Amino acid sequence: MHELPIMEDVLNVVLDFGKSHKAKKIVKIKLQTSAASGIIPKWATLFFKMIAQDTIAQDCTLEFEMEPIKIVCRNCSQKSEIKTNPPVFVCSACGSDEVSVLSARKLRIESIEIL
Amino acid sequence: MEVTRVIEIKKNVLERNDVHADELRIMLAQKGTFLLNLMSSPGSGKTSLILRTIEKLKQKLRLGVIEADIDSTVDAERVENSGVPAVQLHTGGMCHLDAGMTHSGLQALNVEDLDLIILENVGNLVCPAEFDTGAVKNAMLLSVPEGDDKPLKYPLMFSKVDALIITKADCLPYFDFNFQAVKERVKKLNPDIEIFVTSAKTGEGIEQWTDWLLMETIAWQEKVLKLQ
Repeated sequence: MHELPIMEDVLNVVLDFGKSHKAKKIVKIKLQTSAASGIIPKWATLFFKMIAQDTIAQDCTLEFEMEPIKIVCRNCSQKSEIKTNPPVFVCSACGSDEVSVLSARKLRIESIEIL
Repeated sequence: MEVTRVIEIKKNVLERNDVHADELRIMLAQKGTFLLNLMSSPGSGKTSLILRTIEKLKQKLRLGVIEADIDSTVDAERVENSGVPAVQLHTGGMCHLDAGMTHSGLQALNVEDLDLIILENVGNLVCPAEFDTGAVKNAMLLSVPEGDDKPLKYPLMFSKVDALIITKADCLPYFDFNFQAVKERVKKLNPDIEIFVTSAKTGEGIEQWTDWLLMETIAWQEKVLKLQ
């Protein structure tokens, strides 16, 4: 649900950049996020399509690169990544479930492709 | 065929709220006003806890409350009737508070005249955990009737807060609520968390909670005063 205000921010940023580069149309937006950020690409895309109507970003493709969640084990101090989906918070080195999440929340707009 | 151009942006949109929250924290530190963000599901007892907290701390600290609801002024009215300034924010359907909304609440209070402001977040165990409000400390409530499995189902919230207040302890005889299991589950996610067990109805455990909040506020005020 909160993807909506976040995607409004994305729209504002891409429209700004599009305008300053005299874009007629934004064809694609490349985004990077992590599983720890709570952004679900399906919903983010849906909301974006709704709010991008009647702008140069209408009908553009959203491409998401999903980074795995980085954790550090409080038992053996080993850093690792969670590869499972849904995420299972267990150290890959010693199997302990006493892990802390290192990944910061992010939704990064990497680039836009424009005409 | 038209050739497209790629424009690099490299901007994290989630930073905007974090930056705003940091700015709020600096502003509040300059004024020596401690902001506590209080979160939970709807009906866990946030407002009742706030009213009990006001009873205990009103003579020791200058208090203010910011209420956040999708609609109604019920909570802010109850707080004002207890003699403490309160502001009601209507979130317009938003499921959480962010730094921007918190800022508008702070602007409606005389912040410099207050030692502690309690921000009662929207009743929701999911979204509020993801949005920094500029608070010094974050606390959440879990009421006995909600069940001891909530730390398993909502790990993010439980891992992000400084304090967990278990409420409605007077209901224990009617529910299968395993304290030990909650404590273990929560400490795994968040080893430094403070846990309190309370009943706003009987008054049980309220003083332990308010003593902690009082100590945290005073210690923080001394620290930020020294830095100025």
